Amino acid sequence: MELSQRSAALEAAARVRTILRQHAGAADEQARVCEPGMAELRRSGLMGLLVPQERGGLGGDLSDLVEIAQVLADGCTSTAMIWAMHCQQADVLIHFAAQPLRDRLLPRIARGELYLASVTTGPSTGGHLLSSASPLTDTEQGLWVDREAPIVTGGLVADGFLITMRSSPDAPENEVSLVYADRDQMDVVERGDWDTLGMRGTHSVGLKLSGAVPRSQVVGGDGAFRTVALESMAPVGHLAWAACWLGAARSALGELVGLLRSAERPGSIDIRSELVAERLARIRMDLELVGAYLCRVTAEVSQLRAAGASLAGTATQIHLNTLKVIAADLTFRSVDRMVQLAGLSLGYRRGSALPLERHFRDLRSAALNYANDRLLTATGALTLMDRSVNLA
Amino acid sequence: MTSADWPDDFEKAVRQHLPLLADGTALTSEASLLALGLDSLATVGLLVEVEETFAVQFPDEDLRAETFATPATLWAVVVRLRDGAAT
Ligand SMILES: Cc1cc2nc3c(=O)[nH]c(=O)nc-3n(C[C@H](O)[C@H](O)[C@H](O)COP(=O)(O)OP(=O)(O)OC[C@H]3O[C@@H](n4cnc5c(N)ncnc54)[C@H](O)[C@@H]3O)c2cc1C
Repeated sequence: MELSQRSAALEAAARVRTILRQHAGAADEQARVCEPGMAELRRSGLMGLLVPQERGGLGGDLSDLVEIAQVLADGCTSTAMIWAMHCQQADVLIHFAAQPLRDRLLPRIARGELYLASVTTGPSTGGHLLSSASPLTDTEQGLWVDREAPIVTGGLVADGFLITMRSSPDAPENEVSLVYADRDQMDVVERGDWDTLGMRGTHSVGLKLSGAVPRSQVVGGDGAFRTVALESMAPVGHLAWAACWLGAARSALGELVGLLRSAERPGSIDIRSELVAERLARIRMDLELVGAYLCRVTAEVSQLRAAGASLAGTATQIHLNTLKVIAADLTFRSVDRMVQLAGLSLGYRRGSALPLERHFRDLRSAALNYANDRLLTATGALTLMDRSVNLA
Repeated sequence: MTSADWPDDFEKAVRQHLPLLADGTALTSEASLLALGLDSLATVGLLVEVEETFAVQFPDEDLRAETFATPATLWAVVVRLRDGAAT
């Protein structure tokens, strides 16, 4: 993207943020997708941020992605996450869909007509990304998809789905194919509600999807989901999620500092005290670390991609996992500390002038949204394979 | 190469780390270890076992996905390291 386009995209994101700010509380309260925010996102062109310009998109890159995710999360963390996950799915199609499918879908994404939801979690395989229990079956109408999808962010408003499936009834659980399904091609039944501690505005409902898709809608080849996950879905996900969480924590800190500098500051908080200063410093340092590491790993991934190199190398995988885990841990720790600093009325009470308790609940999900434990296990194993300790 | 080319110890070590290889099924030299369930933790387990059994130490250059691609690629590295150590 050229400079002028980049600033236009940032201006569009700022406009969306204004709307998100007005509705974030309601989306959280009702546990529903913020419709005005989604409508503005669709209008803004940002749904096609990563889509190349020749397909009508903005042609943005990964640094645009992480920057805009932070702006959106400053308005509403849930909606930012919906957008971030959509961009993650779009990146998969851009890099792995066969040409005819790309030709068909990318212009629709760019026009904001196609919100892509993701179906990787399964009822029996849990969060294990590289396995799926439900098989694709070959039928006369095409590949038959029959899939329980317990958590689908924005599932009720999705226009299309990227779904992991076992590649055939005889294939082992780890031979996974990714298929694209239009909403029109699927019979969509709502299965479970979404009444959670936080991230309520993602309305990540349970769905049962069934229907047939043509073979040409397998993305990345039969049984090739592992490559798709390693080269696109996981890296772009970790970058975009980390950016959303950081954006939320920055927003929280910005508002807290604004209040501490204002006349509304509670008398009990003495901002000239060393204790308050030390607490603020610790909060700020956590966000500095996440910000710097996010920037660094974004650059690493961008450089490797520009060189046509794989992201599956040991050190790069360690960096990407580390980014996700530290972003989840440190942004949550920072809002936890903000709650402590702000105290009960400002920090803990619903309806406070600062939405700190909402940020706290939202960011608690970060360690679960692709379980930190899974990533730590993988990172530990990979660490034993990298004696030269190639840091990011 | 056929499985006859490697010793039983090697076969046993590899099989132990492949949760998706059924007991009666032969381990072919070109089988994908990844497809048979060798994840990152299992790779570490296999590495340690092979290093202990054959008294070798894998240098960094060999700690790559290519090494752990198939029984044949892994055995080739073990042979090179073992023979290298003997001379
Ligand atoms: C806001 C939000 C939105 C989401 N949106 C979607 C979506 O749109 N589509 C979708 O498919 N999924 C979605 N998910 C699901 C998400 O990707 C994860 O799959 C899910 O959060 C994992 O749930 P789990 O903790 O029950 O399962 P698992 O990851 O299966 O973990 C179960 C338990 O086992 C532990 N565990 C697992 N592996 C290990 C290990 N190797 N070492 C140690 N402990 C381990 C975990 O810590 C956890 O306690 C979303 C989740 C959230 C929070």
